[in-house]
Amino acid sequence: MTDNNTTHFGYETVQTKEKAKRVRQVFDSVASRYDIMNDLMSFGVHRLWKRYAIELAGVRRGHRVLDLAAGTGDLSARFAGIVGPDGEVVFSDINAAMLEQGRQRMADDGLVGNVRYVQADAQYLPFPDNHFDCVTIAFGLRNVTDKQKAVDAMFRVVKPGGRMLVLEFSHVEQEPLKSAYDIYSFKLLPKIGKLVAKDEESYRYLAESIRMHPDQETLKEMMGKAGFERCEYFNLTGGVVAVHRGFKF
Amino acid sequence: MSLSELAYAGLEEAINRCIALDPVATEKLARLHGRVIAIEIAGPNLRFYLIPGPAQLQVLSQYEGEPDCLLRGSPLALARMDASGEKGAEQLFSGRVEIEGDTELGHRFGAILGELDIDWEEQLSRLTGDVIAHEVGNGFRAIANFGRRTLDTLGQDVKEYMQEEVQLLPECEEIQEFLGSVDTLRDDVERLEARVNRLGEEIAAQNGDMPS
Repeated sequence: MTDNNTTHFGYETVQTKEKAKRVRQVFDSVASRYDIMNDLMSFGVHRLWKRYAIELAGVRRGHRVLDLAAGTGDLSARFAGIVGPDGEVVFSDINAAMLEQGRQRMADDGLVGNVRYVQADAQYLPFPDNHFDCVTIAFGLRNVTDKQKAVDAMFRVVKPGGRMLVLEFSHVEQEPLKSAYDIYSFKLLPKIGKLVAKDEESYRYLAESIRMHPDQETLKEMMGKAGFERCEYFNLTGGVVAVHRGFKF
Repeated sequence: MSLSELAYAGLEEAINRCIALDPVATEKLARLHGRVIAIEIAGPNLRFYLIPGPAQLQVLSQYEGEPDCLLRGSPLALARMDASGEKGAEQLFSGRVEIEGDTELGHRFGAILGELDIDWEEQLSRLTGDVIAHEVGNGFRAIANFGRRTLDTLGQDVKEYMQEEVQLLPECEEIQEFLGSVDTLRDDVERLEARVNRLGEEIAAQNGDMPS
Protein backbone atom coordinates (compact mmCIF):
# COMPACT_ATOMS: atom_id res chain seq x y z
CA MET A 1 0.00 0.00 0.00
CA THR A 2 1.30 3.44 -0.79
CA ASP A 3 -0.85 5.37 1.64
CA ASN A 4 -4.20 4.88 3.32
CA ASN A 5 -6.37 5.09 0.25
CA THR A 6 -4.31 4.02 -2.71
CA THR A 7 -2.32 0.99 -3.70
CA HIS A 8 -0.51 -0.46 -6.71
CA PHE A 9 -2.10 -2.23 -9.60
CA GLY A 10 0.97 -3.04 -11.62
CA TYR A 11 2.58 0.35 -12.26
CA GLU A 12 -0.73 2.16 -11.88
CA THR A 13 -1.84 3.65 -8.61
CA VAL A 14 -5.45 2.79 -7.87
CA GLN A 15 -7.90 3.22 -5.02
CA THR A 16 -7.52 0.48 -2.43
CA LYS A 17 -11.06 -0.75 -2.89
CA GLU A 18 -10.52 -0.84 -6.67
CA LYS A 19 -7.61 -3.27 -6.61
CA ALA A 20 -9.52 -6.43 -5.71
CA LYS A 21 -11.95 -5.72 -8.52
CA ARG A 22 -9.18 -5.15 -11.05
CA VAL A 23 -7.35 -8.31 -9.99
CA ARG A 24 -10.58 -10.24 -10.28
CA GLN A 25 -11.05 -9.01 -13.85
CA VAL A 26 -7.54 -10.21 -14.70
CA PHE A 27 -8.13 -13.70 -13.35
CA ASP A 28 -11.65 -14.03 -14.72
CA SER A 29 -10.05 -13.36 -18.05
CA VAL A 30 -7.18 -15.83 -17.80
CA ALA A 31 -8.73 -18.65 -15.70
CA SER A 32 -9.44 -21.11 -18.50
CA ARG A 33 -5.97 -20.88 -19.99
CA TYR A 34 -4.04 -20.36 -16.80
CA ASP A 35 -2.27 -23.74 -16.85
CA ILE A 36 -1.11 -23.47 -20.45
CA MET A 37 0.07 -19.94 -19.86
CA ASN A 38 2.08 -20.95 -16.81
CA ASP A 39 3.86 -23.63 -18.81
CA LEU A 40 4.51 -21.27 -21.69
CA MET A 41 5.66 -18.33 -19.61
CA SER A 42 8.02 -20.23 -17.38
CA PHE A 43 9.06 -22.83 -19.96
CA GLY A 44 7.61 -25.44 -17.64
CA VAL A 45 9.97 -24.49 -14.83
CA HIS A 46 7.05 -23.49 -12.59
CA ARG A 47 6.53 -27.21 -12.00
CA LEU A 48 10.01 -27.46 -10.49
CA TRP A 49 9.48 -24.34 -8.36
CA LYS A 50 6.29 -25.86 -7.01
CA ARG A 51 7.98 -29.21 -6.32
CA TYR A 52 10.64 -27.40 -4.35
CA ALA A 53 8.03 -25.52 -2.33
CA ILE A 54 6.21 -28.79 -1.58
CA GLU A 55 9.39 -30.28 -0.14
CA LEU A 56 10.03 -27.22 2.01
CA ALA A 57 6.45 -27.35 3.30
CA GLY A 58 7.27 -30.52 5.25
CA VAL A 59 3.68 -31.69 5.05
CA ARG A 60 3.03 -35.21 6.33
CA ARG A 61 0.21 -37.70 6.48
CA GLY A 62 -2.72 -36.48 8.54
CA HIS A 63 -1.79 -32.80 8.29
CA ARG A 64 -4.28 -30.01 7.68
CA VAL A 65 -3.07 -27.66 4.95
CA LEU A 66 -4.43 -24.36 3.68
CA ASP A 67 -3.50 -23.53 0.10
CA LEU A 68 -4.30 -19.89 -0.56
CA ALA A 69 -4.61 -18.48 -4.06
CA ALA A 70 -4.66 -22.14 -5.04
CA GLY A 71 -5.40 -21.27 -8.66
CA THR A 72 -5.70 -24.43 -10.70
CA GLY A 73 -4.53 -26.48 -7.76
CA ASP A 74 -0.98 -27.56 -8.56
CA LEU A 75 0.06 -27.39 -4.90
CA SER A 76 -3.27 -28.62 -3.53
CA ALA A 77 -3.18 -31.71 -5.73
CA ARG A 78 0.21 -32.67 -4.35
CA PHE A 79 -0.76 -31.89 -0.76
CA ALA A 80 -3.94 -33.95 -1.12
CA GLY A 81 -1.75 -36.87 -2.17
CA ILE A 82 0.66 -36.47 0.72
CA VAL A 83 -1.76 -35.87 3.63
CA GLY A 84 -3.65 -39.04 2.72
CA PRO A 85 -7.26 -39.87 3.54
CA ASP A 86 -6.83 -38.76 7.19
CA GLY A 87 -5.52 -35.31 6.35
CA GLU A 88 -7.28 -32.31 4.91
CA VAL A 89 -6.45 -29.77 2.26
CA VAL A 90 -8.40 -26.52 2.09
CA PHE A 91 -8.27 -25.25 -1.45
CA SER A 92 -8.90 -21.53 -1.36
CA ASP A 93 -8.97 -18.77 -3.92
CA ILE A 94 -10.57 -15.36 -3.95
CA ASN A 95 -11.64 -15.79 -7.54
CA ALA A 96 -14.72 -17.91 -8.23
CA ALA A 97 -13.67 -18.72 -11.81
CA MET A 98 -10.25 -19.98 -10.69
CA LEU A 99 -11.82 -21.94 -7.81
CA GLU A 100 -14.22 -23.65 -10.19
CA GLN A 101 -11.40 -24.54 -12.60
CA GLY A 102 -9.39 -25.94 -9.74
CA ARG A 103 -12.27 -27.92 -8.29
CA GLN A 104 -12.97 -29.54 -11.67
CA ARG A 105 -9.34 -30.43 -12.15
CA MET A 106 -9.05 -31.96 -8.66
CA ALA A 107 -12.21 -34.01 -9.13
CA ASP A 108 -11.03 -35.20 -12.55
CA ASP A 109 -7.82 -36.39 -10.91
CA GLY A 110 -9.80 -38.37 -8.35
CA LEU A 111 -8.79 -36.04 -5.53
CA VAL A 112 -11.95 -36.02 -3.48
CA GLY A 113 -12.74 -36.71 0.13
CA ASN A 114 -9.85 -34.90 1.74
CA VAL A 115 -10.19 -31.58 -0.09
CA ARG A 116 -12.49 -28.69 0.84
CA TYR A 117 -13.10 -25.57 -1.22
CA VAL A 118 -13.38 -22.11 0.22
CA GLN A 119 -13.68 -18.85 -1.67
CA ALA A 120 -11.85 -16.45 0.61
CA ASP A 121 -9.82 -13.27 0.67
CA ALA A 122 -6.34 -13.97 2.05
CA GLN A 123 -6.57 -10.80 4.19
CA TYR A 124 -9.68 -12.02 6.00
CA LEU A 125 -9.38 -15.74 6.52
CA PRO A 126 -12.61 -17.41 7.68
CA PHE A 127 -10.84 -20.02 9.83
CA PRO A 128 -10.27 -20.44 13.56
CA ASP A 129 -6.95 -19.49 15.18
CA ASN A 130 -4.19 -22.14 15.28
CA HIS A 131 -5.95 -24.38 12.82
CA PHE A 132 -3.50 -25.45 10.09
CA ASP A 133 -0.19 -27.33 10.10
CA CYS A 134 0.86 -25.46 7.00
CA VAL A 135 -0.39 -22.47 5.04
CA THR A 136 0.90 -21.78 1.55
CA ILE A 137 0.32 -19.07 -0.98
CA ALA A 138 1.89 -19.62 -4.37
CA PHE A 139 1.96 -16.81 -6.90
CA GLY A 140 -0.86 -15.07 -5.09
CA LEU A 141 0.50 -12.69 -2.47
CA ARG A 142 1.45 -10.25 -5.23
CA ASN A 143 -2.22 -9.72 -6.04
CA VAL A 144 -3.40 -9.16 -2.50
CA THR A 145 -4.29 -5.55 -1.71
CA ASP A 146 -2.71 -5.36 1.74
CA LYS A 147 0.06 -7.95 1.86
CA GLN A 148 0.94 -7.39 5.52
CA LYS A 149 -2.66 -8.02 6.47
CA ALA A 150 -2.59 -11.31 4.57
CA VAL A 151 0.65 -12.41 6.24
CA ASP A 152 -0.84 -11.50 9.64
CA ALA A 153 -3.95 -13.53 8.85
CA MET A 154 -1.82 -16.50 7.84
CA PHE A 155 0.05 -16.28 11.12
CA ARG A 156 -3.21 -16.33 13.02
CA VAL A 157 -4.53 -19.54 11.42
CA VAL A 158 -1.25 -21.52 11.61
CA LYS A 159 -0.89 -23.86 14.59
CA PRO A 160 2.08 -23.39 16.89
CA GLY A 161 4.75 -25.62 15.37
CA GLY A 162 3.28 -25.05 11.94
CA ARG A 163 4.74 -23.06 9.11
CA MET A 164 3.85 -20.77 6.25
CA LEU A 165 5.29 -20.73 2.79
CA VAL A 166 5.20 -18.02 0.16
CA LEU A 167 6.17 -18.95 -3.37
CA GLU A 168 6.29 -15.80 -5.41
CA PHE A 169 8.08 -14.01 -8.20
CA SER A 170 10.84 -11.98 -6.72
CA HIS A 171 13.74 -9.75 -7.61
CA VAL A 172 16.59 -10.75 -9.86
CA GLU A 173 19.73 -8.90 -8.88
CA GLN A 174 22.44 -10.37 -11.00
CA GLU A 175 23.30 -9.20 -14.50
CA PRO A 176 22.97 -10.40 -17.23
CA LEU A 177 19.97 -12.44 -16.06
CA LYS A 178 18.29 -9.23 -14.87
CA SER A 179 18.37 -7.57 -18.30
CA ALA A 180 17.27 -10.70 -20.09
CA TYR A 181 14.45 -11.14 -17.61
CA ASP A 182 13.31 -7.52 -18.07
CA ILE A 183 13.20 -7.84 -21.83
CA TYR A 184 11.40 -11.12 -21.55
CA SER A 185 8.76 -9.98 -19.11
CA PHE A 186 8.00 -6.56 -20.58
CA LYS A 187 8.36 -7.21 -24.29
CA LEU A 188 7.74 -10.90 -24.82
CA LEU A 189 5.34 -11.88 -22.07
CA PRO A 190 2.46 -9.55 -23.06
CA LYS A 191 2.79 -10.80 -26.64
CA ILE A 192 2.55 -14.43 -25.55
CA GLY A 193 -0.43 -13.43 -23.43
CA LYS A 194 -2.04 -11.84 -26.44
CA LEU A 195 -1.47 -14.91 -28.60
CA VAL A 196 -2.50 -17.63 -26.17
CA ALA A 197 -4.87 -16.09 -23.67
CA LYS A 198 -5.94 -13.30 -26.07
CA ASP A 199 -5.35 -10.85 -23.27
CA GLU A 200 -2.29 -8.63 -23.50
CA GLU A 201 -3.31 -6.33 -20.66
CA SER A 202 -3.56 -9.06 -18.05
CA TYR A 203 -0.06 -10.24 -18.77
CA ARG A 204 1.30 -6.73 -18.77
CA TYR A 205 -0.22 -6.43 -15.31
CA LEU A 206 1.53 -9.68 -14.36
CA ALA A 207 4.97 -8.33 -15.35
CA GLU A 208 4.38 -5.01 -13.63
CA SER A 209 2.98 -6.50 -10.46
CA ILE A 210 6.09 -8.67 -10.15
CA ARG A 211 8.27 -5.56 -10.18
CA MET A 212 6.12 -3.86 -7.55
CA HIS A 213 6.16 -6.89 -5.24
CA PRO A 214 8.36 -6.55 -2.15
CA ASP A 215 11.85 -7.97 -2.62
CA GLN A 216 13.21 -10.98 -0.73
CA GLU A 217 14.42 -9.10 2.35
CA THR A 218 11.31 -6.93 2.63
CA LEU A 219 8.97 -9.91 2.52
CA LYS A 220 11.10 -11.68 5.10
CA GLU A 221 10.77 -8.66 7.38
CA MET A 222 7.02 -8.62 6.85
CA MET A 223 6.83 -12.25 7.97
CA GLY A 224 8.88 -11.46 11.05
CA LYS A 225 6.59 -8.54 11.82
CA ALA A 226 3.57 -10.86 11.66
CA GLY A 227 5.21 -13.09 14.28
CA PHE A 228 6.83 -15.81 12.22
CA GLU A 229 10.18 -17.04 13.43
CA ARG A 230 13.20 -18.63 11.76
CA CYS A 231 12.17 -16.85 8.56
CA GLU A 232 14.33 -17.59 5.55
CA TYR A 233 14.08 -17.52 1.81
CA PHE A 234 15.43 -19.62 -1.03
CA ASN A 235 16.07 -18.01 -4.39
CA LEU A 236 15.15 -20.17 -7.35
CA THR A 237 16.31 -19.64 -10.92
CA GLY A 238 18.52 -16.73 -9.91
CA GLY A 239 15.79 -15.01 -7.90
CA VAL A 240 13.11 -14.97 -10.58
CA VAL A 241 11.16 -16.78 -7.93
CA ALA A 242 11.74 -17.08 -4.19
CA VAL A 243 10.28 -19.37 -1.56
CA HIS A 244 9.90 -17.74 1.85
CA ARG A 245 9.38 -19.94 4.86
CA GLY A 246 8.57 -19.05 8.45
CA PHE A 247 7.58 -21.01 11.54
CA LYS A 248 5.13 -20.21 14.29
CA PHE A 249 6.27 -21.39 17.70
CA MET B 1 17.15 -26.31 -6.63
CA SER B 2 19.63 -28.79 -7.99
CA LEU B 3 19.93 -31.06 -10.95
CA SER B 4 18.65 -33.92 -8.84
CA GLU B 5 15.33 -32.06 -8.49
CA LEU B 6 15.04 -32.21 -12.24
CA ALA B 7 15.94 -35.89 -12.21
CA TYR B 8 13.29 -36.65 -9.59
CA ALA B 9 10.71 -34.66 -11.55
CA GLY B 10 11.66 -36.66 -14.63
CA LEU B 11 11.49 -39.95 -12.76
CA GLU B 12 8.08 -39.03 -11.39
CA GLU B 13 6.80 -38.13 -14.84
CA ALA B 14 8.12 -41.35 -16.35
CA ILE B 15 6.66 -43.62 -13.65
CA ASN B 16 3.30 -41.87 -13.84
CA ARG B 17 3.16 -42.15 -17.61
CA CYS B 18 3.69 -45.90 -17.30
CA ILE B 19 1.20 -46.35 -14.50
CA ALA B 20 -1.42 -44.32 -16.37
CA LEU B 21 -1.38 -46.95 -19.11
CA ASP B 22 -2.53 -49.67 -16.70
CA PRO B 23 -5.88 -48.79 -15.11
CA VAL B 24 -5.66 -51.68 -12.63
CA ALA B 25 -2.32 -50.49 -11.28
CA THR B 26 -3.67 -46.94 -11.01
CA GLU B 27 -6.53 -48.22 -8.88
CA LYS B 28 -4.29 -50.36 -6.70
CA LEU B 29 -1.91 -47.47 -6.09
CA ALA B 30 -4.81 -45.21 -5.13
CA ARG B 31 -5.52 -47.65 -2.29
CA LEU B 32 -2.08 -46.88 -0.86
CA HIS B 33 -2.94 -43.17 -0.75
CA GLY B 34 -0.68 -41.25 1.60
CA ARG B 35 1.62 -44.17 2.52
CA VAL B 36 5.30 -43.33 2.26
CA ILE B 37 7.86 -45.69 0.79
CA ALA B 38 11.49 -44.63 1.06
CA ILE B 39 14.03 -46.01 -1.36
CA GLU B 40 17.68 -45.86 -0.40
CA ILE B 41 20.22 -46.65 -3.05
CA ALA B 42 23.47 -47.85 -1.58
CA GLY B 43 26.62 -46.62 -3.28
CA PRO B 44 25.67 -43.11 -4.34
CA ASN B 45 23.73 -42.95 -1.06
CA LEU B 46 20.59 -41.56 -2.58
CA ARG B 47 17.35 -41.51 -0.69
CA PHE B 48 14.00 -40.57 -2.09
CA TYR B 49 10.38 -41.06 -1.19
CA LEU B 50 7.48 -42.46 -3.13
CA ILE B 51 3.97 -41.43 -2.13
CA PRO B 52 1.13 -43.06 -4.04
CA GLY B 53 -2.20 -41.31 -4.39
CA PRO B 54 -5.32 -41.25 -6.53
CA ALA B 55 -3.93 -38.71 -8.98
CA GLN B 56 -0.33 -39.73 -9.26
CA LEU B 57 2.66 -41.29 -7.58
CA GLN B 58 4.79 -38.51 -6.12
CA VAL B 59 8.54 -38.78 -6.01
CA LEU B 60 10.05 -36.46 -3.39
CA SER B 61 13.67 -35.98 -2.43
CA GLN B 62 12.74 -34.85 1.08
CA TYR B 63 10.13 -35.99 3.54
CA GLU B 64 10.25 -34.78 7.12
CA GLY B 65 8.30 -37.63 8.68
CA GLU B 66 9.23 -41.29 9.09
CA PRO B 67 8.51 -43.40 6.01
CA ASP B 68 6.16 -46.37 6.49
CA CYS B 69 8.59 -48.62 4.74
CA LEU B 70 12.23 -48.38 3.71
CA LEU B 71 13.85 -50.40 0.95
CA ARG B 72 17.62 -50.32 0.86
CA GLY B 73 19.92 -51.96 -1.64
CA SER B 74 22.27 -51.62 -4.57
CA PRO B 75 20.74 -50.17 -7.74
CA LEU B 76 20.82 -53.57 -9.42
CA ALA B 77 19.28 -55.45 -6.51
CA LEU B 78 16.49 -52.87 -6.21
CA ALA B 79 15.83 -53.01 -9.93
CA ARG B 80 15.44 -56.79 -9.73
CA MET B 81 13.02 -56.40 -6.84
CA ASP B 82 10.25 -55.08 -8.99
CA ALA B 83 10.56 -58.06 -11.29
CA SER B 84 8.44 -59.45 -8.40
CA GLY B 85 7.62 -63.10 -7.95
CA GLU B 86 10.47 -65.42 -7.08
CA LYS B 87 13.20 -63.07 -8.13
CA GLY B 88 11.88 -60.28 -5.91
CA ALA B 89 11.72 -62.60 -2.92
CA GLU B 90 15.16 -63.96 -3.73
CA GLN B 91 16.65 -60.46 -3.57
CA LEU B 92 15.04 -59.98 -0.22
CA PHE B 93 15.95 -63.30 1.36
CA SER B 94 19.50 -63.24 0.07
CA GLY B 95 19.93 -59.95 1.96
CA ARG B 96 20.72 -57.94 -1.14
CA VAL B 97 17.71 -55.76 -0.44
CA GLU B 98 16.90 -54.72 3.11
CA ILE B 99 13.41 -53.81 4.11
CA GLU B 100 12.42 -51.92 7.23
CA GLY B 101 9.06 -50.92 8.64
CA ASP B 102 5.85 -52.13 7.08
CA THR B 103 7.12 -55.03 4.97
CA GLU B 104 3.69 -55.86 3.64
CA LEU B 105 3.41 -52.36 2.19
CA GLY B 106 6.79 -52.80 0.53
CA HIS B 107 5.68 -56.07 -1.03
CA ARG B 108 2.37 -54.71 -2.19
CA PHE B 109 4.00 -51.70 -3.73
CA GLY B 110 6.71 -53.76 -5.44
CA ALA B 111 4.08 -56.16 -6.75
CA ILE B 112 2.01 -53.34 -8.28
CA LEU B 113 5.01 -51.98 -10.16
CA GLY B 114 6.20 -55.48 -11.08
CA GLU B 115 2.82 -56.49 -12.45
CA LEU B 116 2.30 -53.39 -14.59
CA ASP B 117 0.38 -54.76 -17.51
CA ILE B 118 0.24 -52.24 -20.26
CA ASP B 119 -2.26 -52.98 -22.99
CA TRP B 120 -0.39 -51.55 -25.95
CA GLU B 121 -3.13 -52.57 -28.34
CA GLU B 122 -5.66 -50.47 -26.42
CA GLN B 123 -3.25 -47.51 -26.46
CA LEU B 124 -2.69 -47.90 -30.17
CA SER B 125 -6.43 -48.17 -30.85
CA ARG B 126 -6.88 -44.62 -29.64
CA LEU B 127 -4.77 -43.48 -32.55
CA THR B 128 -5.76 -45.93 -35.24
CA GLY B 129 -9.13 -47.37 -34.26
CA ASP B 130 -9.85 -50.89 -33.01
CA VAL B 131 -9.57 -52.88 -36.24
CA ILE B 132 -6.12 -51.71 -37.24
CA ALA B 133 -4.86 -51.88 -33.67
CA HIS B 134 -6.08 -55.49 -33.37
CA GLU B 135 -4.43 -56.46 -36.65
CA VAL B 136 -1.18 -54.84 -35.58
CA GLY B 137 -1.53 -56.55 -32.19
CA ASN B 138 -2.02 -59.94 -33.89
CA GLY B 139 1.04 -59.31 -35.99
CA PHE B 140 3.15 -58.53 -32.95
CA ARG B 141 1.79 -61.51 -31.04
CA ALA B 142 2.63 -63.80 -33.94
CA ILE B 143 6.14 -62.40 -34.11
CA ALA B 144 6.54 -62.69 -30.35
CA ASN B 145 5.31 -66.30 -30.37
CA PHE B 146 7.56 -67.21 -33.24
CA GLY B 147 10.46 -65.53 -31.46
CA ARG B 148 9.75 -67.32 -28.20
CA ARG B 149 9.38 -70.74 -29.91
CA THR B 150 12.51 -70.21 -31.93
CA LEU B 151 14.47 -69.13 -28.87
CA ASP B 152 13.21 -72.10 -26.86
CA THR B 153 14.14 -74.57 -29.59
CA LEU B 154 17.48 -72.90 -30.17
CA GLY B 155 18.23 -72.92 -26.45
CA GLN B 156 17.35 -76.63 -26.21
CA ASP B 157 19.45 -77.51 -29.24
CA VAL B 158 22.46 -75.56 -28.05
CA LYS B 159 22.22 -77.11 -24.60
CA GLU B 160 22.07 -80.64 -26.00
CA TYR B 161 24.93 -80.00 -28.37
CA MET B 162 27.18 -78.58 -25.64
CA GLN B 163 26.36 -81.33 -23.15
CA GLU B 164 26.02 -84.45 -25.27
CA GLU B 165 28.04 -83.86 -28.41
CA VAL B 166 31.09 -81.83 -27.46
CA GLN B 167 30.71 -82.40 -23.68
CA LEU B 168 31.76 -78.84 -22.90
CA LEU B 169 28.99 -78.27 -20.39
CA PRO B 170 28.03 -80.56 -17.53
CA GLU B 171 24.55 -82.01 -16.97
CA CYS B 172 22.39 -80.65 -14.22
CA GLU B 173 23.01 -83.78 -12.06
CA GLU B 174 26.76 -83.44 -12.50
CA ILE B 175 26.60 -79.85 -11.29
CA GLN B 176 24.57 -80.86 -8.24
CA GLU B 177 27.11 -83.58 -7.43
CA PHE B 178 29.96 -81.15 -7.87
CA LEU B 179 28.30 -78.54 -5.66
CA GLY B 180 27.65 -81.28 -3.04
CA SER B 181 31.30 -82.26 -3.10
CA VAL B 182 32.33 -78.64 -2.70
CA ASP B 183 30.12 -78.37 0.36
CA THR B 184 31.56 -81.57 1.86
CA LEU B 185 35.08 -80.39 1.17
CA ARG B 186 34.38 -77.03 2.73
CA ASP B 187 32.96 -78.68 5.85
CA ASP B 188 35.94 -81.03 6.03
CA VAL B 189 38.35 -78.13 5.78
CA GLU B 190 36.49 -76.28 8.53
CA ARG B 191 36.63 -79.38 10.77
CA LEU B 192 40.32 -79.77 10.05
CA GLU B 193 40.89 -76.10 10.83
CA ALA B 194 39.09 -76.47 14.16
CA ARG B 195 41.17 -79.55 14.95
CA VAL B 196 44.46 -77.84 14.08
CA ASN B 197 43.48 -74.90 16.25
CA ARG B 198 42.63 -77.21 19.13
CA LEU B 199 45.92 -79.06 18.77
CA GLY B 200 47.74 -75.74 18.56
CA GLU B 201 46.13 -74.62 21.79
CA GLU B 202 47.02 -77.90 23.50
CA ILE B 203 50.65 -77.58 22.40
CA ALA B 204 50.74 -73.99 23.57
CA ALA B 205 49.30 -75.06 26.91
CA GLN B 206 51.91 -77.84 27.29
CA ASN B 207 54.73 -75.46 26.42
CA GLY B 208 53.34 -73.04 28.97
CA ASP B 209 53.44 -75.76 31.66
CA MET B 210 57.01 -76.69 30.91
CA PRO B 211 59.59 -74.72 32.83
CA SER B 212 61.75 -72.74 30.43
